[in-house]
Amino acid sequence: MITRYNAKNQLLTAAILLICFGLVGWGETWEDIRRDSADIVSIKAEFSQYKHLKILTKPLVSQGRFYFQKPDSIRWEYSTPVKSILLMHKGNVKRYTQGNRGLVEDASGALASMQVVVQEIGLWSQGRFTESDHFQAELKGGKERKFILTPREKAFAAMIARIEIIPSTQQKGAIKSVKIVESEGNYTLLKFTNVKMNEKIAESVFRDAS
Amino acid sequence: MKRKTPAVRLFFLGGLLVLLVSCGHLTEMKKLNPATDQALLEVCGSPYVKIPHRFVHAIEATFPGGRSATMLGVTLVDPDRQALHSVLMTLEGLVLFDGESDGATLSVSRAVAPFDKESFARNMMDDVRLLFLAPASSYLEHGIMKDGANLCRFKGNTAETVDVLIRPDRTWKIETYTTPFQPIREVMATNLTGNISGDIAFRGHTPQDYTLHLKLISAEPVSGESSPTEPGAGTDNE
Repeated sequence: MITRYNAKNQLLTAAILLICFGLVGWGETWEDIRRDSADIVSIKAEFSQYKHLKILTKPLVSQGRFYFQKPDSIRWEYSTPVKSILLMHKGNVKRYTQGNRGLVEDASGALASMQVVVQEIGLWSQGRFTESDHFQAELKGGKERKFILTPREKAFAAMIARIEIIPSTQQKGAIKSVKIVESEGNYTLLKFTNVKMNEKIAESVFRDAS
Repeated sequence: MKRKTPAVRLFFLGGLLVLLVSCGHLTEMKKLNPATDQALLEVCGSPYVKIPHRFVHAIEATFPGGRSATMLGVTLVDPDRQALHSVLMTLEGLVLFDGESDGATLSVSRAVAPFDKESFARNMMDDVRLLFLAPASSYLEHGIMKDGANLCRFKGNTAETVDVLIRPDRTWKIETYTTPFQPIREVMATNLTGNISGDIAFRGHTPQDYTLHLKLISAEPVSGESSPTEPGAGTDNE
């Protein structure tokens, strides 16, 4: 039996997905990142999501596209295995999922909570990671630079151990991968390709699911 | 004459319903003997996998009031050990529930609200068990419907009866109910490849009405790797 879909889970899910939008422009320090981020006004990219679970011998792969327009417009769209579109635009948050009745707006009643996420995005898109109420950010150097985000709150920490973000070394402002670690052996890896910065994106992309 | 109480009337109505089902559309139900009715036992077991399998489904859940949510489900099934390992997660991959059951015991390694209630875990694993594993009951009756469908009726020690209807096109339907008649769960499986269903429609009635639609993403036999109680490690081959 399945009970009501939880608002917090959706909030967290969206928050994690959208962390990547803030990681634009790669400086050496948080101050550099903040400064470089100011140059990015839009992002569009394709992504592949690899879900690793202990009971899977190979990851479960999902694919899709994402769009971001400063200050807080987002479209996160899965094309496979289940078509699903999350839209955030002008303070409104909607989610549509392909089901038995076609592409239907999610009616779980949790979307109001996503307003909080949009506020987080506002911080991240300006490179202000250290000011987040939900995640503590750490810069790691070495052979491969890495950003480690750990949840500040118990509720988030119960779901996510840490998030590891590896920036692209070839494209300023682009992300190579995001790894969301839930527990040992259970994690989600997001890989981004065809990342395009500062191209014009029609407003309808963030407004309409179709 | 003494008037019948509502409970007695309900009992008679339930009995009448069962009789209508039993007599109106069926040949006589016959108790199967494992020693002599092997062919029919195989028919009754045909909806279920015979060796360990791993299933991945997209699950569309609809709750009272019309709210809905879509999730991904991964299930490892071991019919020999009657064991299940089920993981429920968001489309984005966040695990909401991770539990294992061998019928007698239930262990939950991860459950986030609102999936963290013990009653949820038990109900969910019961739902999954109904979909993938033949009822453990050894008492089984069989009859033929007028349209040629096989009806297999599992009766156990509990008050719950499980009817498995296997149609001539091999699609199947399962109903569980109590006596007097009170429906608990209904399952309809269509779009079969072999004995694996591509689409499963599920309706539950406790504690409230809810529906699940499971669309198969992948099904694969599992051999020489993880079992429901001995999970193996995932591999990095992306």
